[in-house]
Amino acid sequence: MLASCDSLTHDADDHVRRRKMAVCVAVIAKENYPLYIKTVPTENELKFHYTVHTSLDVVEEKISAVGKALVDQRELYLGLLYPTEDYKVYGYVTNTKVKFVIVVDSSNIALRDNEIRSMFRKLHNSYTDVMCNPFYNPGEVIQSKVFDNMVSGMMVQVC
Amino acid sequence: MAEKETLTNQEETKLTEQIMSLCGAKKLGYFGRGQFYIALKLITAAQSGLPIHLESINRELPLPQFFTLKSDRKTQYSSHSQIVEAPGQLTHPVILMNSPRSTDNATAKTEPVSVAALPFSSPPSSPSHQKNQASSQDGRQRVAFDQINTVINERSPTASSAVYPDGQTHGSCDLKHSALYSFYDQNQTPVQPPDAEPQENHSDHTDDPWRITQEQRVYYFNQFKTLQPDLKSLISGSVAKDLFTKSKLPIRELSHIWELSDVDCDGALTLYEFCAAFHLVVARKNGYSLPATLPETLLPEYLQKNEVAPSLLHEDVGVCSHGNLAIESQPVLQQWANWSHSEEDVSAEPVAVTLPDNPLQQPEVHLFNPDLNLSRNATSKQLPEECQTTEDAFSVPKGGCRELESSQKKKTRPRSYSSTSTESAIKKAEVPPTPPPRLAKTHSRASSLDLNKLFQQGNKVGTSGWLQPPPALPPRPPTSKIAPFPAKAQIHNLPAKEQEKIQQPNFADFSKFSEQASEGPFSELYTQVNKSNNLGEEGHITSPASVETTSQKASTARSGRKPGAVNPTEHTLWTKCQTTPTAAKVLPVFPLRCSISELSSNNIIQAEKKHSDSDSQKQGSQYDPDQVKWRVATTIQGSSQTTDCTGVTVGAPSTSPTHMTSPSR
Repeated sequence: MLASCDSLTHDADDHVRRRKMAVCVAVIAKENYPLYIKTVPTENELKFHYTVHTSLDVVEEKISAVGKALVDQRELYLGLLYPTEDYKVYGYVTNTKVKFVIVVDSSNIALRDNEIRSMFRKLHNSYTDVMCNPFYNPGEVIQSKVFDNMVSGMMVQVC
Repeated sequence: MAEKETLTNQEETKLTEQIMSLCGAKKLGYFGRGQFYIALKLITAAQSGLPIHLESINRELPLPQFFTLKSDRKTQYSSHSQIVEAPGQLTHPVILMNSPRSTDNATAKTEPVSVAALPFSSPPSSPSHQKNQASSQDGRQRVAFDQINTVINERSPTASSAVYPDGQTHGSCDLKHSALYSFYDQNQTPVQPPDAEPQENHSDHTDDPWRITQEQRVYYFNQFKTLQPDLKSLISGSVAKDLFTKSKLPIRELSHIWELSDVDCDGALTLYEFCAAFHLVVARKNGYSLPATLPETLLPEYLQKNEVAPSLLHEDVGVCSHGNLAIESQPVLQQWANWSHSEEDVSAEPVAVTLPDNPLQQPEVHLFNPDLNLSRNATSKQLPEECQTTEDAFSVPKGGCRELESSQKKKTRPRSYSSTSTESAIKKAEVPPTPPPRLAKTHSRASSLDLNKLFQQGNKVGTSGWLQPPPALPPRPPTSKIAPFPAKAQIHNLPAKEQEKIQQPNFADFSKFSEQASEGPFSELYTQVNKSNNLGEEGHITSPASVETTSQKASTARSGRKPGAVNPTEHTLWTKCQTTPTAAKVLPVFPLRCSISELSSNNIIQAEKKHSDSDSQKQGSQYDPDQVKWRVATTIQGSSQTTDCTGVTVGAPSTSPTHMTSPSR
């Protein structure tokens, strides 16, 4: 587990860390049901669930837009799906049509695209590791602790 | 048998009976592991002067003292095992403990080996039992070990009677004990290897359950070999999965273990990763909670660095393979010579394979694997027996079963829970099982789906004589309107969606009517359906459809039902009905039609029953107009169901309107 609240001694540090953090991370299966969804606990989690759900439409749209072309030509990183008042939602689709959705706080203006991309890359790698586990059946909810730790590491630390 | 060991006097007999009834054995009629443990604890309590109550066993108790006659024991067990003189008298208690669990091993009594292997069978039993006693059991273990040590050192048979290997304790530090084998023998309780002299050395490492002893390492290596003869290559994920699921650990934990041990995350296990994984499984089985990260001593690099070459396997007594290279270099033979006098056979054993036969672990071995003792003392014939009797995947006796006594015994000692035969285990080693098939992806486009499914269904129902793909089907009512089938439909193991789809057509209706009309291509279909109907279960009504479309449904269900997509089941069945040209009698169109949207399954059944019962005769002629109408209706896409029903039922028997009206609310 990465930085705990205890380690965030400095407000500045905290702020910096928060800036790079997501508020909600979700992994959606190809059939559009969630394999994994984790939100910052203090918020109204259901709101994030809704946000992710609605973002799926946008993801589908983006996927289908390139649908005619070869899959290779479609980039995995979808970028900003849509901004809301408070949050920005980014999407990422794997070649197996598994979608990653990251919701970040709109106030995180310092959060650059590259950082988002790196977050998705980490997500993808961890997801791949989960898939490599023979005890994991595709389509199951992801219960891997390692994956969970990785996601927690990229989420806003709430003390 | 257990009680025999405990007391002899009449008064003690009374106590015994009291204990027996307390522990529940009387009620059960036998000593299960739990009962046995409780009984032993009560015995201890009694011996300590405590009142014999269940509460008294919750305290810390010393080990019970069994003062049975040596001769009795010897004679009794010598027939079983030839360990008589061996320090491995631990087998006695083992056998003692195992007696109530003779089921654990095939030929428990006849083969000392298997008896010994009875794991320690010490029933891992009630974890609660053990956990409660964790602290006390630590003490117990020590006592046991001390006793065992004395046994070994003194080579006095009496020690055996006094020794009571505490098979219950699993909370003690050392994993090296029988844990392994016990694990496979359904024995989850480790027993500290009795180590008198080397105990001091051993104790340095005893507290680390994450260290792999040499013996364990050898065992793991052998297990690896059974799955993958090439030690340098990998074991695929699916093969490893099969192996580890035999441990009966929850999948979640196995998954975690995999995550820990598959360091390179390649979905396969190298030899060292496998060792680590196996060790974690054993640890878990023995009650250790899984660490969040892989302990350093289980890292593949660490294991690789500390591995001793097979030829040098003999380790120092004091170091149970704890990566102490300096000590490891010492040949075990020397150690053995110093150590166990009675073990001349052992010490002299030139184990070609990597069995260290570490004297340190020897007692341990004795504890859970008297096989070793036997191997030393026994004739070679025991080996074949051992090899043959063990029917577990983990005990695959290789060709060298006869060659290496102790090593082979070790290999065969662990028993898997499952009753897989050695053949299957070997088979597994030879042919890694293919990964479980992923659910087939269905075509995402409904139109092609229809044809695909139609053809498939046509093939499946082939005998029913479907001629050609049916024409377009009439639209089906939305699934929401359809009353969800009760769980009975799940008999077919179909997800709810599938059941839903299957329910719609309610082809049972057809069958009901067609019972008499056994002619035509429908006959088979309907007989099937009828049979299912006879079961009175709604879910069965559509069994033929479900059977036909199960495979398809599996995929469609997975991919999710596309709204508006034509239900292939319905489609095909509809078409089948359609294609029954002259077997008009069979077509009770209206029930089908109406049932789709409005009818509850119950109503349908009732309707059908009524219909079939009363109108068998009328079916012939009266259906013709219906059939015509029905055909017309079917060709109309998008026509409402109700209209079809009403149109169809005009000429239907009198009972039909009732069918129609009731369902069509």
